[in-house]
Amino acid sequence: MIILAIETSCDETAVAVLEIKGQNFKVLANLVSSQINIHKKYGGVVPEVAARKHLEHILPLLDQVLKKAKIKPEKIDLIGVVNGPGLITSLIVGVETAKTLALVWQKPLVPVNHIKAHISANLIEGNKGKLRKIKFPALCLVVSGGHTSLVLLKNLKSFKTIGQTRDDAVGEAFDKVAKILGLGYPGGPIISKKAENADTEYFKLPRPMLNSHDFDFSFSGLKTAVKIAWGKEKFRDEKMVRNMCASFQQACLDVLITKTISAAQKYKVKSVLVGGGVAANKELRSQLATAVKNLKEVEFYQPDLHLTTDNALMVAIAAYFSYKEGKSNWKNIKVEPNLEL
Amino acid sequence: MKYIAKTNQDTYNIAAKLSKRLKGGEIVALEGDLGAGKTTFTQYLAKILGVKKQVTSPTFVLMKIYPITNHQSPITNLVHVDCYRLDDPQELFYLGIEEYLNKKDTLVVIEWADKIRNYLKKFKKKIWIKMKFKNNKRIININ
Repeated sequence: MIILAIETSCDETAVAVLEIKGQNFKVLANLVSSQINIHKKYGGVVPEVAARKHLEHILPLLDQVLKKAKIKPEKIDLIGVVNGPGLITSLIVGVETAKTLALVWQKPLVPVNHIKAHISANLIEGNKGKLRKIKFPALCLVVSGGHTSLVLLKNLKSFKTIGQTRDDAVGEAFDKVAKILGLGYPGGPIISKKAENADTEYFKLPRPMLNSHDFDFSFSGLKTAVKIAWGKEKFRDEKMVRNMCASFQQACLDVLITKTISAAQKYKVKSVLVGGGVAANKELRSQLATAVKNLKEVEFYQPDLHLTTDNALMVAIAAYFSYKEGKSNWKNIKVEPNLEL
Repeated sequence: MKYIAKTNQDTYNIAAKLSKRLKGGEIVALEGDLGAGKTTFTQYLAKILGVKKQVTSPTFVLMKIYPITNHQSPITNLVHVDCYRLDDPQELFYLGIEEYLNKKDTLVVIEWADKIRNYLKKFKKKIWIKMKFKNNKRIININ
């Protein structure tokens, strides 16, 4: 089966073509027209600019992807598109494009939940091979600029959110802390780079909700704590910036990892997964891998680095599995900015 | 009116006091720096008004809509808007914000409202709140 997928839920326009035959997959094309350069000067994603750029990018990108995949539209068996959660004005560009293609090419179209897509990125490794056989039940930590949640999977059909942030997403906290420290955008990669070999304990920061006895998170107060500590610091030189980056990053990781491990124990899962843009964070990857290793008989999976941030390949994988559950009519597909799992 | 909140409970009480003034159709405009307490204030206000769902930061999606199921309240919808990453108020128009502003059964709470001060001029029933975090105290100015 050949799947064409589209993702425009936030600032990336992305299109991919994936082939799945039985248990084997092959990536035919996977392109993301990164808008990082456009957004840098604003210190964040400017939504209006994002929507306009999606419109400018989507058709040329689609054209390039089909050429790269060396595929004619008639060979495509299925179209998948993210219909939420996300920014409504951005989502609508992808959804309307996908509906148009489905109508003109007479192909089935399935809507994909953006969070499910991030989780599905764990099912492949490299450009071709066998789909990963994940042992269930599985737990996925979803961490990005817009989301922070723990999702329990009984199988590839049953997704349940068991905990989530009560205020800011962790990626949002990275962005806002980067702004407080006068660093650029996006905050995640910059903070992670600056944190290397710096003192994680120099600034005493809280670990919000660490002992809350549930699987919810909170990062808004941590951001405020950084602001207060930074305001009091007399020597705000490069070394101190690095120490703050390291201290802040470790505070986030401590909470994320502790909660993931205790949820894994409570629900007796057989594997732990991670997904979303913050899953590109090196320290998170290695510290979480170590923590899961200490659990008995629990596997740890993480997506390839280029599949952590928004992309359409993860959408193609999710579309494949939800298509197997049942078809849907393109006429009924709606953009849902607050879509839940 | 100037209030000083030393604890979260104080902030909650200030939100409770404000909630008594709300009859629906108002715009609560929040102004204040990162960490001033805008989201927390909104969360308390939502809870007091009867929003059952967890109110989370709308920074990513710009606007979130919550139903209010408290039958004693004339307000049936709380719209939570965040202008933090907004450059042009036109975007809020595209999101459909004008369907909610000054609508009788809806309360709109806007964080970083100072970024769209001019745009908001044409709307009525605004309650402007300036928040500041200083010396472990939150100064809340309600206008």
